[in-house]
Amino acid sequence: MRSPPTLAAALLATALVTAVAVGPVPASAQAPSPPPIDPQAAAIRVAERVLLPGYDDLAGATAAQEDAWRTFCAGATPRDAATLDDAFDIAADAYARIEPVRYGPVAEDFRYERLAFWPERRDAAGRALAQLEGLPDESLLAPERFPDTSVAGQGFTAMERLLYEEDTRAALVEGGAREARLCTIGIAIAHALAETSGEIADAWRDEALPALVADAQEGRRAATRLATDLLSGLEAIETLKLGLPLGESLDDARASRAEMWRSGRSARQIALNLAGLEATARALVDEDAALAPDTLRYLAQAERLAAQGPADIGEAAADPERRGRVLLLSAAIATARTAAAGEIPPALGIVTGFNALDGD
Amino acid sequence: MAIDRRSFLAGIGAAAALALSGGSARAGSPAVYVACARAGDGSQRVCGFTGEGRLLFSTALPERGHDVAARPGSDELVVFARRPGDWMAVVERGSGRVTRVVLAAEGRHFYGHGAFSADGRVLWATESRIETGAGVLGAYDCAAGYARIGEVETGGIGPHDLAFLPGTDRLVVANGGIRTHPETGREILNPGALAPSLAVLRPESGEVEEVVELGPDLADLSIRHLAVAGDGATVFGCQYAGDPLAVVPLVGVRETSGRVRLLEMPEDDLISMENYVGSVALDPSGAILCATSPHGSVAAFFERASGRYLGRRRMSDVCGAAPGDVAGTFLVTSGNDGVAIARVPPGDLADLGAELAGMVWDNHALRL
Repeated sequence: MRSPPTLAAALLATALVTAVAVGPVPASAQAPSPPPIDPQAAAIRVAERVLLPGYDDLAGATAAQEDAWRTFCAGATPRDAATLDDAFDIAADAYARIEPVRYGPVAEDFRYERLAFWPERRDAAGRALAQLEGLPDESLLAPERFPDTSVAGQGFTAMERLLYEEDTRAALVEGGAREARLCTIGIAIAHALAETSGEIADAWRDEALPALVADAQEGRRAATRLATDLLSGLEAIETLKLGLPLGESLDDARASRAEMWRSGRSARQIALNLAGLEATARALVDEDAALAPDTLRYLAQAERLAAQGPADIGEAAADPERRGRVLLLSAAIATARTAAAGEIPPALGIVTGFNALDGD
Repeated sequence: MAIDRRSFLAGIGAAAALALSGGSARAGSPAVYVACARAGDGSQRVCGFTGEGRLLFSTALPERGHDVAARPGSDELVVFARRPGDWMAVVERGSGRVTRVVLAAEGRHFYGHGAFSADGRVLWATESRIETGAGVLGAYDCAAGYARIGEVETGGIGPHDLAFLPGTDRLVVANGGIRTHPETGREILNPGALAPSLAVLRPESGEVEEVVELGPDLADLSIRHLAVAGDGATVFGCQYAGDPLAVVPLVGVRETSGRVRLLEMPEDDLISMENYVGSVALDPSGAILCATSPHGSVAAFFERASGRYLGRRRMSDVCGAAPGDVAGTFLVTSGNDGVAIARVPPGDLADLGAELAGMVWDNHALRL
C-alpha cells in the first residue's frame, strides 16, 4: 500500500541534503573561469524560443477570447457558454506557460497584475467585479477608460470568476436583469487582456529583443533576471499555489485558496507553469542536459506529477485521502528548485538575487 | 557560526580596495554610498560606490553582512552581520580596509543594525539575550577598540533597526517582536504572538520613555526599519507575519509630537507590496519618503508631512534605499537589477550602470 506522506517526507529530506550539497562554497575556493554558457546568448535564446512565441500565443488566444465574448453576447438567451469555456481554456493555457516570467515588457505599466491578480487578497477581484457591475454609468467600461479601473478586475482572475461563479454564469447564459452589464464587463476584460498581451508581444519584438541583441550588459542582466524568475516561479508554485490551499495542516487546509478552483484548472495551471519553466531552463542551457541534469530531470518529474495528480488541488489538499499527493507535488517542486538554484546560475556565470527570497 | 579569523583577515588583504580621494562631503563631489552585496564569485562583500555608479571599494566579509553605520567625526564604518550573526567589522571608509572584527558577547547575537551617538563615542547595537529572547542594546566604546561596556533593554523582543533622534540623546528602536535563536537560524519562534513596538529610550540611563504598539489587530505586523528626518519625525517600515492574504498598512510615521500614524495607499498599490517593506528612506530634503518591497518589486513614495501617496515604481527585487544627491531623489538597490536613482515625481529610474549591476545588492544602503 502506498503511503504518500512518507514519500513526501523522503523527498523533502532529499531536497534538504541537496541544499547542503549545493550551498555556497568558500570564497577562497573560487577561481574566476568563463562560464560554460554565454549569458547574453542564453537570454536571447529564451526570448526567441519561449517568450516571443509564448506572448504571441497569448495575444492570439486572448484576441480569440474577445471575439468569442462578442459573438456570445450578440446571441439570444438562453445560450451555451461552451464557446466561452473553450476560449478561456485556450487563453489560460497560453497565460500559464509564460506566467512565471516577470522580466521584460510584462514588468512595465503593471501589466503583470493586469494579466492576473492572484492570490486574491481581500477578495479583490470579486469586489472589483461587484464594483464594475454597480457603476451608475458604463463609460468606465469603454476600452480607453477600463485600464483606469482596479487592476484586480482586468485580467484572468476576474474573468474566471465572472465565467465560473455560479450566479454570474447563470445570468450570462439565461439572461435577465444582470445580463447586459455582465456581458459588457466580460467584453471589457477580454479586450483588456488582448490589449495587454498584444502590447507585451509587440514590445518584445520591437524593443526588448533588439536591446538584448545589441547590448551584452543588458543580455547578462536579462539572463540573471530570467534565472531568478525560474527560481521564484517555482517558489511561488510551492508557497502560494500549493501552500495556500495546503495550509499548515489538514485542519488548516482551504480548498478555495487554490488558484482557478472555480473552473477546475488549479492543477493544469501548475503543470503548464512547470512546462514553461522547463522550456526556459532548456533554452538557458541550450538543450545541453549535461549542464543542468538534475534541474531538467526534477522539473520533468514535477510536471508529470502535476499532470497526473489530482486536478482539483484545493479539494485534494483538504481531503485526507489525497492530501499526500499534493504534499508530494510540493516536495517535488522544492527538489526542482534546489537543483535549479545549484545548476543554472553557475552554468551562466551569474548570481541570482535574493532579497525577495531571503529578506530581513 | 564562529568566524575563522585568519581566513577572514587573509581575505581582507586580497580585497580589491581603491582609495577614495578626500572626504565624501566635499562640495561638488557625488554622494558616496556603502552597502553589502554578494559578488559574482559568490563571496560576501561590503562595497563603497558613488551616486554615479563608480565602485570605490569591494571588501570581502566572512559571512553575509546587513546594515552599515558611519561613526561621526571619524573615517570608521561598522558593518553588522546579518541576524542572527555574531560579528561586526570596523571598516575604513576611504579604503574599505577592515581594521578589526568584534564578536558578539557570550550569550548575545546581533540583529544587523547599530547606531552611533552623535559625538561618535559610543556605538549601540541591537542584540538578543539568547537565553530569554529579550532585546537589548549593546554599548561599545569606540575609542577603546569597541570594547563592550554594557547593555540596556529595549522594551521589547527582536529589536531590529534603531536611530538617534537628531539633537537628542534619545534612541528610537524598532522592536520587531520576532524571536529567533541561533540554533534554529531565522525560524520565528513566537508566531502569532509577535508584540512588536516602537520604543523611545535614553540608552545612557536605560530609561524607556515611550513604547508604542500598533494595537491587537496589527499584533503580527513586525516594525523593522526606520528613517529619521532632521526634525525628528521617524518613518517606519513593517513586515506582516500573519495571514498571507491579509492586507495591512506597511508604512508609518511617528511625528515629533509622538503621534503615530499609518500611511494609506490605494488598495491595488498596497497589495502589490505583498505585506513586506524591506527598507525605508527619506530624500535629502526629508519631505519625501520611499518604502521598498523586494517581494512586490516595488518602490513606493509618500509625502512625509501630509502622508499623501505619490505613487510607485517597479524595480525587480528592489530593497536598499538611501537619500539621493538632491531633493526628491533616492538611491535604490536590487538583488538582480543593479542600482538606480529614483526621481520623485514622476518616479522614473536612472540605472547606474554595469559595474554595480554585476553585484547582488543586499537589503540596505547607507549614504555617507
